[in-house]
Amino acid sequence: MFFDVAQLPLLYVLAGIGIALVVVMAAISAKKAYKRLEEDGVTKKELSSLIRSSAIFSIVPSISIVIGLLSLSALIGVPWAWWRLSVIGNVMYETLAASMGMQAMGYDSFANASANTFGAVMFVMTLGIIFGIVFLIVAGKPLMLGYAKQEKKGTWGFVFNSCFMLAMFAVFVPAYFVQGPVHLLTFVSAMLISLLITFLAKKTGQKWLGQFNLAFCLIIGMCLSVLFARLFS
Amino acid sequence: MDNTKNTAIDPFVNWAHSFGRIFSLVIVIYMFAMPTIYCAIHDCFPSVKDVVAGTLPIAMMMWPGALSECLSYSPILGSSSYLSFVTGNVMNLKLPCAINAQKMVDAQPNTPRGDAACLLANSISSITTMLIIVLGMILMIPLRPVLQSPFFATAATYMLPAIFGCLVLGFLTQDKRGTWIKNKLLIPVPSVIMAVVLYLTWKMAFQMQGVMVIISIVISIIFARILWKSGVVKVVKGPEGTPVD
Repeated sequence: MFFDVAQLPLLYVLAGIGIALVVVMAAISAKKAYKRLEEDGVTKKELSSLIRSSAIFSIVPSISIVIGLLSLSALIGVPWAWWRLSVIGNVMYETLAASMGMQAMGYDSFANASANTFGAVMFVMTLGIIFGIVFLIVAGKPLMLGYAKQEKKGTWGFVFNSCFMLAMFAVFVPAYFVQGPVHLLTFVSAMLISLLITFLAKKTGQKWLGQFNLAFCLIIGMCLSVLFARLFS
Repeated sequence: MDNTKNTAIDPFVNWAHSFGRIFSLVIVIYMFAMPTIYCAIHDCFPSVKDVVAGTLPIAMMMWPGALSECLSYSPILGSSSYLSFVTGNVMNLKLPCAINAQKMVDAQPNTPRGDAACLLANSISSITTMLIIVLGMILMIPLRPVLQSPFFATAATYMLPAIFGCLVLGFLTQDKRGTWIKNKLLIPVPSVIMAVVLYLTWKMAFQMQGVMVIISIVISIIFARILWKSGVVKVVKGPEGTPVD
C-alpha cells in the first residue's frame, strides 16, 4: 500500500543525503562569495550584518514552508515531502503534482493507493519541477553573461541593469492596489514600517535596526494583515 | 572598488557559473536517482505510461511558469540563480534576500559584487531554511496545532505584500551620494499602465504574473533606451546631479 512504502527509513536516508548535498553546495558558495566580497573592500562587520540579516529574514518564510510540510506530509508521507519542499518545490505545486500522479494511476485517495502509485508520484513530482533548473544549466551562463555585456556600454549599462527590478516591481506592486483592502493595507503598512525603521536607525545611530528592516517589516506586516483581514471579513 | 565592473571577465563570476552548473547537474541526477533506487529496492516501479500520463498535465501547467521565472529573476540573481532555483521559493525568499543584500553592500545586479552579495545571502538563506525544515520535522507533532491555526494561515496569505512593501521603498529612493539615475521612475510607467489595465480587465492576469514580468522587462528596456537616448533619463553623480560620461 501507498503509506507502507512512503514512510520507510531508507527514504529518510536518501532525502537526508540529497539535502546534505545542497547544504554543501550552499556552504562552498557562501565561503567563496564571502572571500570575493572581502577582496572587494566589504568589511567583516558589513559581511556579518549581511549574513545576520539574510538568516533572520529567512526564518518567517521558512516557517511557512514548515506549515506546507505539515499538510503535504499528511498526503505523501514525511520523508518525500521533506525532500520535495527542501529542493526546488513549493507546497502548492507539490500537492497538485502528487494528486496528478495518483490520479494517473487510477486512484482518488492516497490512503487507498498502491505502492506503485507512490513510485509514480515520486517520478511525476520530479519531472514536473525539473524544467527551470535544467534550463538554467543549459542556458543560464550565456543568458546572464549576455546581460552583463550590456554593462560595457557606459551609462546605458547602468540604466539597462536597473530595468529588471523596475519591471518586476511594475508588475507586482499594482497588483496589491487592485486585489482588495487587505493586500493594499498590508503593503502600505510594511512600507511605512520600513520608513520608520530607516528613520529610527538614522536618528538613533542604531545601525543594527537597518539590518533587520526586512525581517521586522515582514513579521509586523504579516501580523497586521491578520488584523486587517478581521476588519474586512 | 568600481561596482559597475563587467561580470563576463571576472574569475569569481566564472567560478560561480561553473560551480552552479555542475552542482545543479549533480542535484538533477540525484533527483532521478532517488526514486529509481527506492523503487528498485521496494519493488514499486510505476509503468512509463502512468508516469507520462501524470507528468503531461503538470508539465504543461508548470514548465512555462518555470521558464518565465528563470528569464525574469536570473538578471537580478545573477550567478546565484543556480542555488536559488535548486533550493526554490525564489519569489518569496531568495529574491528579497538578494535585493536586500545588494542594497546592504551598495552593489548593482550583473556585477561581480552584486553576484557575490546575492550568492552569500542566498547560501545563508538556504542553509537557514534547511535547518528550520528539519526542526519543523522534529517538532511536527507539538507544532501542528499552532502552525495550522487560522492566524498563521491568514498571515501566510499576505506574506508577499509585506515583503514588497518593505522592498519597494528602498527601491523608489536612490542614494544620491554616489552614482544614480535621474528620472529613473519614468522607466516603469508603461509597464505599470499595462499591469493596471490587465488586472482590471482580465481576471487571469494574477495567474500570469510570470509572463507579465517578461513583457514588462522588454517594454522597460525599450522605453529606458528611448528616454536615455533623448537625455530624459541620465546617469548622474552626487547630490547636485553632475552628469557621468
